[in-house]
Amino acid sequence: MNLNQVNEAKWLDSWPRIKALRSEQVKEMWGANERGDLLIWSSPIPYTSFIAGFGNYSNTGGLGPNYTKVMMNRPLLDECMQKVDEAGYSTNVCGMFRTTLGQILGGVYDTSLVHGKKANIDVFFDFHVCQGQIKSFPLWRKYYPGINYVGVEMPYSYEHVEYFILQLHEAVDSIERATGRRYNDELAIEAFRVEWEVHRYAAMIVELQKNRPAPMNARWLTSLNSCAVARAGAHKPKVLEVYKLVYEEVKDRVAKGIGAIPNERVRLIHEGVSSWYPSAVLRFPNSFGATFVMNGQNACGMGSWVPSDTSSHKVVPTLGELGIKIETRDDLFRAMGDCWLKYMRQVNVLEHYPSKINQVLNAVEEWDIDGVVISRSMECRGLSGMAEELARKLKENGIPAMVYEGSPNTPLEFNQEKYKAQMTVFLEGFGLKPIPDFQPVEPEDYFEF
Amino acid sequence: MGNRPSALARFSEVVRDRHTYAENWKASTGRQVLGYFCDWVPEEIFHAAGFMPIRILGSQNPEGQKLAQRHIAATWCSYCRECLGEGLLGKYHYLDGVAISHGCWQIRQAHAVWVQNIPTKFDFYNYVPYSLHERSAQAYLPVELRRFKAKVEDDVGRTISDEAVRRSIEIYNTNRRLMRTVYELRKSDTPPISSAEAIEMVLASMYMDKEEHNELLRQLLDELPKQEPKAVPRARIILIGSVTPEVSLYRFIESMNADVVIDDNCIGSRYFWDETPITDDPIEGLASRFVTRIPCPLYDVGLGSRRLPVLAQFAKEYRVDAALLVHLKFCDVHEYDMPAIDEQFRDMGIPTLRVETDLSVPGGAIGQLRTRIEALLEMIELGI
Repeated sequence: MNLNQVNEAKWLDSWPRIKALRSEQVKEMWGANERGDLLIWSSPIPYTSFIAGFGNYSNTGGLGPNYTKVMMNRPLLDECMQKVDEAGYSTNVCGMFRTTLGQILGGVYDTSLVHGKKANIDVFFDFHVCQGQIKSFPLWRKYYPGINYVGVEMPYSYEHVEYFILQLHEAVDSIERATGRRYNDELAIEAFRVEWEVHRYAAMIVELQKNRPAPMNARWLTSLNSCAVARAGAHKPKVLEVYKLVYEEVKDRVAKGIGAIPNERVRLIHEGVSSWYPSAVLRFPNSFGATFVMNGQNACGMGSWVPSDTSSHKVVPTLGELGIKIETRDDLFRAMGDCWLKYMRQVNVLEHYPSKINQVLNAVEEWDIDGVVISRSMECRGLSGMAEELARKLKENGIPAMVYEGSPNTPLEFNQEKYKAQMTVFLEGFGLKPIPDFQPVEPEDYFEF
Repeated sequence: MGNRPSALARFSEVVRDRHTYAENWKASTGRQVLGYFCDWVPEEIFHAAGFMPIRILGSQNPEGQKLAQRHIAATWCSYCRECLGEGLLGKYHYLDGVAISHGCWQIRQAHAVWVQNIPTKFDFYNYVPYSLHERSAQAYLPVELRRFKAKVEDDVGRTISDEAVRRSIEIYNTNRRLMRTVYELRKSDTPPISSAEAIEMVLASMYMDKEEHNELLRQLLDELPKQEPKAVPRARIILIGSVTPEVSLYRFIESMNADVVIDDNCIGSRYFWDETPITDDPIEGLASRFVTRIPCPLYDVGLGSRRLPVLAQFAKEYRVDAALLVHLKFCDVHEYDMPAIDEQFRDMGIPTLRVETDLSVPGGAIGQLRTRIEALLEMIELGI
């Protein structure tokens, strides 16, 4: 390890375009009712083209448009979460459910904290990627009576793709009945073609992270995913344009040896959810010369990868290269099954623990990783599953690993100082010390984002 | 009037020495034993394949918890570590394989760690969609069960005939029917079998050769009417919630002269309440039972709970005075249902008590419940 290594580092030129996707989505969402667009409640999932068959739509993104503002407002957050406790749901249950319910009970979920406007949800629709989502989904009925609920259960494995396809057909019928809108196959097919490319570009960007220095870091990747996919929607042409733009910029950074931090000495993976709210989790190691090159969400939730026996990560080809023709609704739903159950690994990682360990071990090798930091939280059991076992296996393979008690959904449950102390010891194990006068390349307001 | 029925004594013995029982059974029959983690596996298929399926449970052994904590953090339910700990201690060394359904992720983690760390010849993973209330899941389930049966056949290297599955269904249905008949007797003012005895009966069913258990059940049903009536319990309780395999909890409640006359958990009524319908294609029958059986919280996910009406019905038929909602610490899936269950019973005018247990604490932390349960009983007596 060369402790004196210094590389060029700079902030992303394409950040304003990425950020704009989020602000545009928020504006679109508040105007959806007036425009007659469908407004759906949906968790922040990357499978966005399916609903596009019903025409233009916006979604609340599950956590809600006010989420970050509420999380950063301690008195308001306390008030909201106290109501959740009173409703009988402790920290045992899904953190996303709790923080969303807290905002609903606190009257700040679907009413803008900026202009006071209320958004009226047309339908609750969700792809259930885990048991927490499927258990909590019907509970919204108590707070939003009279609205239709349609859920599609994502099987943990491609083996069950036929069940998934059956459900998509059933969901179309249910939403048509609920909204009076007809499903337009052409619209959905076009949206899916775009979405396929977005996930492919996402994987290509993450693949470029294999370079030293890594041209981005996990926080930037998370911001990209959050703004573009979870918020704006992976099926939109403007989102694909941004992905192409970011890809070109990142490729150029690789060619010029530009990194995300100026002193990349140690490369880390963050496994599990870091935090949906602004926190120091992903940036803290930077001031030691360490960087999170990727996280499980980046690799599995964002990109499409070709599975193999060794769980290695190879970017998925185009639809044409794979010979996938989409002409009918059946073709489309089968291709969606391919994309979301075979090539994207989010559900697999959340719901099938045995496959998780190999996936991380392979990523460590392929991304030239020095250590793995694993978040464990009662708030997300899916992503926390196998934390100890994973750490054990990594250590057996000579890879330093650390497990910390995280809290992806609410800062109330997260002790950042404890995390920093634990990380400091972990980073010192690599011979790292805090770099005096370390200056991050990101603008200060980015860290509040 | 006779002594304690011999069948009950035998059930206690098997529950106490379940590993010895299974090892002896294996030695005497030359057949294989398969451990399963969750009762959403199609036991009849394993039985028809020649296995004796037995439920993997812990034994509240602190050593097991200690070993398991190296693999699963303390913020996961103690039950999953209990099961894993028993395996890591080598207590299940005689198993020829393990099986799990796509149950809760707590127990799925125990299974995943088990197969990583304990040599296992067979490992069967049965996918049962959560959304069993949906037509798509109902249509898919028989397809999946056929595929699963084929996988078992491939792995064990023998064909499982429809006739064999039908025969296993009959044996299992007999077992379910007989246990339900015993449970029916608990509707009486003076139940002839206590809750602890009833739970031991169900646990023994999970640990034993089903045909032998059936014989004991017949014997029990013959002997029970000859028993001296027990005292009228101070309160009739329905116990609802997380898996509660510690018989000591039921004895503890009995020690306060109350009785759990009916329960809703997977080592109690839910295990046996519903029979498999007899159909031309036995797989259709097995699938049908999965869809119509009393769901655990994980499989009660649609709008309009299927579980709540069953609980209300139990409360009426067994004339319960109170509902004890038992929640295993860190069990997320049960917690989602607790507020609605609580509300339903309060609407029915039945007082509830929500308690948390922890199998990693010797005795399940039930000692500290005494004051709370006493208060509940006093409330009932005072009509508050």
